[in-house]
Amino acid sequence: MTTPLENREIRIWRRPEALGLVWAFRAGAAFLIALPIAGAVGATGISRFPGGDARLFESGAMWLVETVRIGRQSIGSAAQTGAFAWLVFAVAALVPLAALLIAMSQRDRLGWGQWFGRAMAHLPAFVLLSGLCLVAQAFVLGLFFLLSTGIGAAFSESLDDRNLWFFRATVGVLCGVLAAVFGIAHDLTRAARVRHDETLRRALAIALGTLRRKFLLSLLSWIAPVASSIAVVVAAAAIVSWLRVEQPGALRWVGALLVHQIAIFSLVVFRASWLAAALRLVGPGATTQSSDAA
Amino acid sequence: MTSVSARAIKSLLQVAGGIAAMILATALVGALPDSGASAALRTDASAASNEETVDAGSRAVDAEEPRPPPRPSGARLDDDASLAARADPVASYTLRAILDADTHSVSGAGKIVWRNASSKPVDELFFHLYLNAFKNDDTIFLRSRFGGGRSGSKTTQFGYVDVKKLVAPELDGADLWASAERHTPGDPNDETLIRVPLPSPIEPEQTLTLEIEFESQLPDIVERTGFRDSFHMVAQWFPKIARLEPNGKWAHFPFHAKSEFYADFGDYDVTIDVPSQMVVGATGARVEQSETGGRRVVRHRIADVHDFAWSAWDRFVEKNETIDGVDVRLLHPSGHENNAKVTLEALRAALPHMNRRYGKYPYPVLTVVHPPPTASNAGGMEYPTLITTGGRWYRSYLTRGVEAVTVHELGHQWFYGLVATNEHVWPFLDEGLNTYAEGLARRAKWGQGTLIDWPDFRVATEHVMRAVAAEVGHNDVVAMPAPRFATFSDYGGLVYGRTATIAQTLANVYGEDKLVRGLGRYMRGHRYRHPTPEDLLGALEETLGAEPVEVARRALFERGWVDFVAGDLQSVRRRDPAGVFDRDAGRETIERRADEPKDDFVGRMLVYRRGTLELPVEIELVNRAGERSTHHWDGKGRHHAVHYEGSSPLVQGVIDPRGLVALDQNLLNNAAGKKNGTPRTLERTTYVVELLLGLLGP
Repeated sequence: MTTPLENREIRIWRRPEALGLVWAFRAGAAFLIALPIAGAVGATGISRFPGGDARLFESGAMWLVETVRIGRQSIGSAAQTGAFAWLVFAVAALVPLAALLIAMSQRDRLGWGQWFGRAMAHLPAFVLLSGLCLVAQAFVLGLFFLLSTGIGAAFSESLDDRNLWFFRATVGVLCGVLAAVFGIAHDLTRAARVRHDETLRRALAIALGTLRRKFLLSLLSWIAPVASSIAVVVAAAAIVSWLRVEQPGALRWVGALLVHQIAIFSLVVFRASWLAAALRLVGPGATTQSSDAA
Repeated sequence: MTSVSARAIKSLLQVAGGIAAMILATALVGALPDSGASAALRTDASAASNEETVDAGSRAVDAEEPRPPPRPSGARLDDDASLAARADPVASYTLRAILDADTHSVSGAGKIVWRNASSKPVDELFFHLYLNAFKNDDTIFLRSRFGGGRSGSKTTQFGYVDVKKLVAPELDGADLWASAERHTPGDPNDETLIRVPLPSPIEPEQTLTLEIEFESQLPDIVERTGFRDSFHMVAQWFPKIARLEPNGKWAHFPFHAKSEFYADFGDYDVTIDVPSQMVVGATGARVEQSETGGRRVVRHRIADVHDFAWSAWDRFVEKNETIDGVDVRLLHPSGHENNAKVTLEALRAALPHMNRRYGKYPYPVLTVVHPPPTASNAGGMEYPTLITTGGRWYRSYLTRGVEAVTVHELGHQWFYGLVATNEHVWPFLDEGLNTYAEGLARRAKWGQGTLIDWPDFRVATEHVMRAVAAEVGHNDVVAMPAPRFATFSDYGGLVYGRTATIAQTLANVYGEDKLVRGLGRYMRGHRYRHPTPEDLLGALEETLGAEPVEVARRALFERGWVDFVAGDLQSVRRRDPAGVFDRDAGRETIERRADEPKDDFVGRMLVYRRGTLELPVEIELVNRAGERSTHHWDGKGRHHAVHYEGSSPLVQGVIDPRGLVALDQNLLNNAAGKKNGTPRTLERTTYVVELLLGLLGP
């Protein structure tokens, strides 16, 4: 048994290899999914051109369109397999996530085997939680489509195309917020389970209690890293655009690779900062108050 | 007709499935029709009689007598100095139309003045009652597999036109409608083509006045006509006299789902009476407007056109601007301000562009109607001096789709409006050439971002067109009547895409300036006329020469195709001959030199030309040192060896490295040599998957 940390001691860099693990898992999984797709693209014949697949990134997309046309079956097949692998890896990624939560919330430095074992122990509960969250978010999506259709039927005469769209978009944003709240509750439950080593039901009660009492704080703690992540992705796109990978030379695409992986690592860090906040939110006080409430 | 880019993308998406959807998702418009099993059975049962009737119409036109040689054009047609000032009026209409906005019907009355412009007397007239295509499920249009027309959605309320009166005062006031055959010749279920026998023949150059009354019930919006709520797009709404060819044969045809129109030039004077809250956009210039008793009455007049359409809606927002001397009136729904902005921007670029190349637009006005999204089937259509565009309010923020439709339909003012080819028999002459002309105009304005113009991601329409055309290139010939195409994909890919790709190839290979000059001569020389493919080829031959025109002829009429394929690529160190040689002077043994140069290589690349089109092409060789050399092959013969001499071994060879031969069936088999891998694709795909994992995963 390791000693739990105080709230002030929870930091994302407590065990840096945890961050590295999450990033490496994501990068490795993505690479494995991407490899057959890139292979199928290469098999179309584009790789025999001078500069290889640099042409695929040329303005106008002549070579990109032709490659899609010629290689649609093999690329499509690889993409389908990739989609399945993506689902499998998304489930498997819960293990490094649990490892990250453990690393941030425990004082003692566990050995790799013990660390992995603890993370694995959380997997069934995390899978169940993810399933529940997806169902809840799918329900929100269904609700949005229902409301959207209703709005269309009720206001198509009185509102013009654009205002109708904005009305729908507003409802969409509200549904998005609701879906995000489910996501936040999801993360708080995971945090509570790891921090207090509680049953799933008890962790859920702690999370919902926390959300009820500290809704705004939870939302703000979640929004900041999400906004930062979006900013990083946009910045990475701008930098890679500037690198102009359509021009020959390995330096350009290697540069793009670095920029993109730095971006992904930053996303992992932002994600960890939110999870650290979630761990703090479900700290000892939350447990007591949840017990009181129960 | 049609928002061609959207259709092209739709076709590409069909062939590329989900992959292309990721690339071009924002340009996706709707899904192709699925008529359902029962409808399929029904249409199958009626297909034979349907095609028979349609072909009968086409054959009547195909069976024209040999035409005289193409009208000479020459360099005088490189500018507007000798441009025809007026059309020779043949069919002129003076009509009054009263819209009942509640029943969505139009009461029409007026007169038609028609002249026998052929060389022979005629004892019958043919009228197109296009609106009857939507009268019942058994019309040629609705019973066909393509009953939804280009949009794919069938009308939910039938439409038709009832002729109440057709009288010829000059023929002793004969009631012509009483003796008319009330259905399409050879097809009792279709009433889109009506033969009207005349009590006495009309001699060449004799004029006939016809007094007419009719009631047009508009369908729920379909195939660019009809109503949706209070929006009305009133097109093909009046009985329209068919065109009599100079040889005395009628160019008539029933209205088929894939077909468009053909008519004579004339003057139109149309008075439109609508509820006073309606804003009216119509062909021609508004010359009168009044408002009394809750009704608005507008009168539009225009000369030298061959059709008249109008639209009325109580929620139009109006914008006016003079562009290159033309008063442009744009009618759009509220909330579509950005669509309106880019529409005008497109017209500002394209109108002068086309004026310069194909002769100045001769009319004082141009009306652009952007229909509401609920009536999107009204969008993407051309009528003389009136075009319709379309799209949701945000379309112009995502793609250049609005600009594409606008420029395409504007181009039809020349390729259909001013040069009035038979759209039923030779659809490639209007749709295909216009697609090329439209692409040229848009490329001049937006470069490679003519379809999607995002930062760091630009897609040009012409490349999508090329791909669509390549997919269907072997399916059928380009130059044939519209109803004969097996599917809309074939029709779209061949008529729009393949024609534009043929023109693009000729421009790339033989010179864009020459092609455009030839096209300009054709357009100027045949303004207010009804040319045929031979007229086009004749004009192109003047500027391009005989060989390129032969390529065009094969590509258009004979399913001509070409696929350059890279074959063997090899190089070896050059060596002086060594060995045992029996010469006249006796046997000579030459030893291999030890000091042979190590930087002297010879090699070759083998190039194959598959297909029937002979096109010259560039070949680029690249050696290990990165040095490139460009070679030319005239494309004659089935294969060609490109020889190489250089200081390092050959590593790669590419046929047509710039992709000039857009007709090349497969561009990706054009390279030979070492593989460079796909590191950029791997890197980018990995990154995208990483982001996706972050979305679903933790």
